[in-house]
Amino acid sequence: MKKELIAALLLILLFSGTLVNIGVNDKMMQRLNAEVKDAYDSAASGDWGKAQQRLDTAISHWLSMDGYTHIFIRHSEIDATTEAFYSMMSDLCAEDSGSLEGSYGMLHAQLLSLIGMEHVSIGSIF
Amino acid sequence: MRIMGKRQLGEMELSEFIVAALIADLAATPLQDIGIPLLNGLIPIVTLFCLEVIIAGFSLKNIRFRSLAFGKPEILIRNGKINIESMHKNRFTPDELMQELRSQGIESFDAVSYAILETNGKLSIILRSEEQPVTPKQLNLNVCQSGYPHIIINEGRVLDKNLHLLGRSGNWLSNELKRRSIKDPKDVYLLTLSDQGEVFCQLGKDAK
Repeated sequence: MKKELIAALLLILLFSGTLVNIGVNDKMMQRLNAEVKDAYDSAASGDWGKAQQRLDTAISHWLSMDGYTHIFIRHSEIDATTEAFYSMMSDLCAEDSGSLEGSYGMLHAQLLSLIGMEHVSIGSIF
Repeated sequence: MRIMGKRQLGEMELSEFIVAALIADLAATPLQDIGIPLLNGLIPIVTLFCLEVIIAGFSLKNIRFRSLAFGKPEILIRNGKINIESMHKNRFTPDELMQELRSQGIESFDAVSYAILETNGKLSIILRSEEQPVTPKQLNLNVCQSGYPHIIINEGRVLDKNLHLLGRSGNWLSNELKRRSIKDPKDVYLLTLSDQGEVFCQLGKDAK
């Protein structure tokens, strides 16, 4: 009975850990998304310097999360997100508003996907 | 596998076999693909392990759940007569039944009282009373018990624990070796002592 009890506790612990991870992941990705949107809004209003600065901060935050992301997120997803960050930065540096629309959309979608894939849903299971 | 119980290592039920195969596959995936975090393999393994322990524990307590999870033994032969319905239900062909009987040294269906297909897929055969081997008890014979042989020397290493368990000392072992003209326990490949005091000794390859 002791063994079964430990197994049940371990399952509860795993489930709780999953819920905590979803919460932590949501918070981090939403913060990054807000920073990226801020950078995009700055660029849209013509303040390219501020936009670069905002995105640079977002990139620093993303890279500082390396310890977490490498344990919990597939490495291909990490690489795709990092690429999307630098693609947007490239458009900001080039002050290319036409291309920025697409690179922002890609990064935004990538961050939303990182939120979605951790949630327990039919889509994330299948 | 060892934590799940020794039952896992020997005769596995179908569900246990599936869990074991799944665990092996899950463990291999993050090792093969470095792009997948190790945790993605570990968490499902721990989850499966926990579920297996809970299911096995619950099945011990609840007979209905046990038959639901692991199935029930099926009688394929009763008093020498094949139960065709059970044979069909279990996808068991007459050829396979014959093969099982032959492998257990049984020539005729008439000799079989019961053939039971166990939940682990093995066929247990109970012979008719008149077909069963005669035991010394039936012949009213007094036979001495051979007892369980305990290993005392295993490839040159003396197992003191077993020696003391049988109430023998190092002196007894030295005398036994001396009696067999063995100078060093290291020369012995295997030495066993039964509960009845019978000693079996096999020298190693390098022993002179």
